Amino acid sequence: MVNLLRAECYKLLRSRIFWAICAGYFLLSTLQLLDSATRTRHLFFASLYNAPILYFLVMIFCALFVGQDFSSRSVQALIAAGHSRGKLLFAKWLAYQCACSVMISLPLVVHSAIGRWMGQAAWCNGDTLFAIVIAQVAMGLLPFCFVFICHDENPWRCQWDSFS
Amino acid sequence: MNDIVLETTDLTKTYRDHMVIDHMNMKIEKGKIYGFIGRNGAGKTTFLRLVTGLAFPTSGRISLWGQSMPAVLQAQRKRIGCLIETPALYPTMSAQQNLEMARISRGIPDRAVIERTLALVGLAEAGKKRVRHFSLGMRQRLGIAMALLHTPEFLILDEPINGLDPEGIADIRALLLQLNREYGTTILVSSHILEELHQLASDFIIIEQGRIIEKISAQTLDERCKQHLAIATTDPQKALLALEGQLQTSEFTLMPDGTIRLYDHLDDVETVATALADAHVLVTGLTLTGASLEDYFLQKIGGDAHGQSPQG
Repeated sequence: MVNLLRAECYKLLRSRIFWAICAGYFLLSTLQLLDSATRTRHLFFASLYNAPILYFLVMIFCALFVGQDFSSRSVQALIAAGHSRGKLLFAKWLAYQCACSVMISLPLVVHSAIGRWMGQAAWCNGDTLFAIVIAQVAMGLLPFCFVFICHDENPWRCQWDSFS
Repeated sequence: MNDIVLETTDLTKTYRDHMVIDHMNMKIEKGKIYGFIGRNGAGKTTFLRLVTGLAFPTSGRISLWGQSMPAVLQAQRKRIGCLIETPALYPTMSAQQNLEMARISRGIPDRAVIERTLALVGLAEAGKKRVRHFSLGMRQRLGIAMALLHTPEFLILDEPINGLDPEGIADIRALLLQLNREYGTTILVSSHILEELHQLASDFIIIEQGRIIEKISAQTLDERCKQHLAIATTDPQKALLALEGQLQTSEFTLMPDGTIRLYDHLDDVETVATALADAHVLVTGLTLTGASLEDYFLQKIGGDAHGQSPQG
């Protein structure tokens, strides 16, 4: 399990898709601050306001990052290497979820830091933070499930058979 | 029991109404190289997918090193190295990075194994090149490298020499023979290039329509395929005496059906016929015959495709 996670992290850090979408997400979120900053006094909440709008980037990342594992047949290779399907699924989900969290949290953290530097007092309380974490997990889970159901490498029947 | 690496008992795989693997019974012994031969759609790849856990059998049992319980079976697959269909490679990563990922996922501590494995398959100079710039043969070599990374005890290769140039084919053949000789690696190779397989395998398994129609050792195959004069006579014993006395040869075999196989004087059929005639032996058939593995396979498939085939 640990080895699978390490391999996923290795792949993630070398994934141009991840860094490109991270950068794109951050830039778009910053641009949208021009609008959302007028709706609240605090940059953190202004940035948070834009998160659902940028959800589509999370879906794109999921499709590319997780979907390429099916097109490259690495899922099959890991199963044939003796890893259990459950552990494989969990490792991929965890790595993907961490990547999504970084993607979604990066603008929040940076904008909040800028806000603090500008003298704004807002951060968020524990309840809000917990809600943000849960929302991030939920936002990432749906496209992840769809990727595993709708992977497009081989005919649906054969692929489901290899992962069922 | 310890000498059996893989055993299947009544293994069956059905996709809807189509039976792809039909009650297959097979034993793979440790330390041998098996050639797995069959037509397109015979069930070779499906069988290999069942063994490597990529598909589940409809019925029957698979055991690896004597273990057949599902959880233990999956753990035993860590001892297998395999290349099924196309290699599993990330095109945006380099060869070294692909192997590094495999090394990490398998928990291999030694990083030097990557360079050694790349050198083994002839990709030492292409380690930093991205896989998307690889040719088909280079991808195939890298796939073989990934299968060999953890020095597996059992190597399963499905069409490993696809796309390789003649030098590459010879290199991979030499590599597999070396692995078998030095490490005792058990190898199961599926290939359509039968002459290449003939040079590599010690045993052959011929599959047709999901059933094993023959298991034969290389030695037996050579005996059956060896070029010879097939002599059919009314008095085989007298014919043998004539061959030994007049032709001064003992390179012959009396077959169970009474025919004589003469492995000498193959380019001098007239002399053979004369010798037998002088000994007053009535010859009912005299033909020069012999077969390659391809001929043997085609004969087996053609002969058994229309009738009941015994399991190997």
